Amino acid sequence: MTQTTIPVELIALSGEQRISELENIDALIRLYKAKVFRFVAFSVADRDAADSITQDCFLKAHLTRHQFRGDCSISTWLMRIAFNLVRDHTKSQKFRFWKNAAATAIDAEDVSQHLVSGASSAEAQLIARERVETVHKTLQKLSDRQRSVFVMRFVEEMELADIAMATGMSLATVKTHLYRAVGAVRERLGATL
Amino acid sequence: MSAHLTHEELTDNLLGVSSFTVNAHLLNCPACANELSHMKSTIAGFRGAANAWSENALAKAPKEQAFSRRSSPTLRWVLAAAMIALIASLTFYIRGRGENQANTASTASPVITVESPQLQIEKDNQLLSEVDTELTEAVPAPMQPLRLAESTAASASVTK
Repeated sequence: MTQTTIPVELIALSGEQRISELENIDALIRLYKAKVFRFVAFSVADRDAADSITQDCFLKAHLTRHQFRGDCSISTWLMRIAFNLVRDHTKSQKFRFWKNAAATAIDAEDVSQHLVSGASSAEAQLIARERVETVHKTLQKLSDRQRSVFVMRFVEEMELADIAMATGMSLATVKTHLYRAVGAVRERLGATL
Repeated sequence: MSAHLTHEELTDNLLGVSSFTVNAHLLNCPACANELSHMKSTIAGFRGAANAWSENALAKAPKEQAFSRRSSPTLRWVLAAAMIALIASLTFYIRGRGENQANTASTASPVITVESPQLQIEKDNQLLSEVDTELTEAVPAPMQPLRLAESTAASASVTK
């Protein structure tokens, strides 16, 4: 898998070094584009919107790079910008109108086709794909915040403290959203089995 | 053994923040361990599929500049609205122009068609005779008031 990994030296940078790193927009995009795009795509469930918001995220990051205080990682800072853009997008009337009719909506079956399953039998692979589809469909039923927090934790594998910082919620609120989101997924998975 | 783990306790374990008591329970409770394993494998599968899907989506996306500023959705809507307004106004303009031409033609045609050739000839003759009268006069029409004033003054001096 060619998943973009953040170099250890970049994580270990001091605040001032991180700020200077923000000047190099090409490197920023190369390192974090996949992460931001993935988070946005599974938050808004629309590929075109995800493309647009991802670009807006890096544009905003570049324009406001001087406001970055270096008190969190660049990744968390970018996720915060992306979270706010997603929130603004989902609040808009346009999103509500086109939500159900989007031609570029992310299809659960399309996502499940990308499952790299270690299951030996074809039946086991089919079940694993159905589970992935169920999780994806359940995500669309969640509230915007629950969905974003779920994706941050279980897809992006962010720490709870980083999620709290990126979303501006308290740690307790983040956990509450996660309890509800996981509860909904468990319920749906239980119903399909 | 006590009751099974609550949903919060199971989720805490998924989040990696479970307590020692919860971990101890999982060691001794196959049902909870199985439930947790089931959830973990499902979430891991979803994460793997999401990663693969996003990589594929980004790879399929057209190669673009590393940092190209796209027009915002609002700007695109404004441009689309302006284009529609332009097309609509052009349509109305062209249609209105056609109607004006038709009106001009319809108002001008009765003058030509209603007037008979005989009447036109009489009008022409009248105009020509007026011109002829003006030409035959010794003093042009604009200077006739001066001549009138001059003759009035002459007659006044005679009476004195």
